[in-house]
Amino acid sequence: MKNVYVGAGLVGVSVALVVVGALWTPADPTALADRPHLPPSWRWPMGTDWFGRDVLSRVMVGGRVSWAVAAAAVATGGALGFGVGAMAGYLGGILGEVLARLGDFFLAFPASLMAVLLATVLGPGALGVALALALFTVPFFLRLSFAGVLALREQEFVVAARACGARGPRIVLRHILPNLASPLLVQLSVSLGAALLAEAGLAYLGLGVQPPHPSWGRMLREAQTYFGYSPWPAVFPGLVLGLTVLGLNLLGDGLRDLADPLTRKLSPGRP
Amino acid sequence: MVRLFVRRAAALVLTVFFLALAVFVLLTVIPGDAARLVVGPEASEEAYQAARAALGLDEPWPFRFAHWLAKALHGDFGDSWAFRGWAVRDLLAQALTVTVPLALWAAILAALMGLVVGVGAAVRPGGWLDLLLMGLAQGGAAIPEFWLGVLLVGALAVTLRLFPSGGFPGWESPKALVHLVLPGLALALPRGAYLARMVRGSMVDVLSMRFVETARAKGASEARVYVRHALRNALIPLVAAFGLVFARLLAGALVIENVFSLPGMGWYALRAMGGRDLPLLLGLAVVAGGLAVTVSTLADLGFVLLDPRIRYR
Repeated sequence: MKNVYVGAGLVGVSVALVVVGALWTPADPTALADRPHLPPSWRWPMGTDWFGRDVLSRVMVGGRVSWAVAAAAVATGGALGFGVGAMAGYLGGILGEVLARLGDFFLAFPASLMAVLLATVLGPGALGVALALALFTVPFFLRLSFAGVLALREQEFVVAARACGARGPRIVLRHILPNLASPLLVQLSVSLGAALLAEAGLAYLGLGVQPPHPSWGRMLREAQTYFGYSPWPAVFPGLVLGLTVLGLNLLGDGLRDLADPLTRKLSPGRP
Repeated sequence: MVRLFVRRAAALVLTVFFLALAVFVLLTVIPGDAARLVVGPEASEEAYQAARAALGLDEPWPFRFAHWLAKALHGDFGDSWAFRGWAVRDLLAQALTVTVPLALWAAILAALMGLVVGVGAAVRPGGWLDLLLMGLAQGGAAIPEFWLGVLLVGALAVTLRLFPSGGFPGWESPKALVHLVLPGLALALPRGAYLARMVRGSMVDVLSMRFVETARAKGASEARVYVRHALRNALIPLVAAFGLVFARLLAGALVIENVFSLPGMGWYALRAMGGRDLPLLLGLAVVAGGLAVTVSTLADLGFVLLDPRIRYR
């Protein structure tokens, strides 16, 4: 129970930072000033970086990209994975087997390598990264809906719906989907965390949104160069990212504990 | 049993084939004109034609794929474009000597962490040690590994000078292993945290079983109950998970290899991307992906061999 609150709190703070950052920041996140490497203080809560820019303001603005890319990727990949998995589970047979294997195929191929391949073809922008993360999200949702639909398909209420003349799509969306809502929410939460981590790692390598827009991952790369002068610009973006992911994981765990007994077995896949 | 092995082996071969096909199509068919992609928009006509010839773009792509596959099956992945004078095969061989030991070392470290923390937490479920260790595991699983890498380099390499900050001197150097310590740690911590939760879960499950009660009733000491009876059964999922973690690390250590400038497959992949080195990228993706799929299939089969209960499912 407590997990849900702590998790929701951490995620709430992270989202609030980013939303407020879109409207207002304590200082100009890109303005250079002659105050390099100040330690954290009341005036500069996360210190300043090598160019004298306020780290807190940059964290607030940088999170927007991370959240947007991760959310878009998980929404796309989740919808695709759920749809294909539900279809495979509902139709069953050889097609179901093939689709499930296809999911395993993507599970074996790490998001980072996929992102590098896509960046070679599409250029190093956010599109390639989002696409790679979406593909990386697909198998988890595919497995979940595949197993869920297989388990629910022969339940009385589904048979009854079928007897009333309901067709496949209606049965899946109206009768099966609501019963999978809680494991889906749990998986969404965990997948978002994983996507945020992967996005930041790729941004660190220079993939994703390009300068001058800050992002959590790239801030770390810049800060690494000047670590010897001041560790703070490297510490805070990673800390905020880590706490966000922790919040999402706690939220996922807490939601699973609250989930109804029928679907409790469908625990979320972790990368 | 035999049928299962044959089926999985066939699935493995098919998977690797489709992996190669998918990567080939992605890199050389979807961009439309791969030669233009490689040389860039401002290249001279000669460079463009040379790239076209090197790629064999005058042929339909299924033929090109067949040629590439036939050569690749003989271990010939062509010549690298970004690293002049190198065959892709030799670069791959060199990268593997870094990536495989790194992945193995990180996976072992993660399994040890998972074992110690997980068993420690399971001794008294709900007790203070359990809460503390599981809290740590929850936090560890959320740590961005490259951030951990950057902090480890900053604290232990740059500031305290205990470890090298990156690079790899080659296996002839006596200090080779020292260069793998920090990257291994950065990779192992989040994975160890994940494994710890799993070990704790299976320990708690096993400890609540009847045969454990029987062992206690027969007068076995607590230590014997934990080690002989519970741990042996709780270890089975850990062994399977170890295989999976190792498999994913083979292709998934890309970011950390670049944080520490370790010339493994991930490091080469990034250089190949920068240099638009299609032969090297193709080779890397197929070898890394194929290796990961192979190891995870082996881990699955090992799991079946270890646990007779699954065989009858």
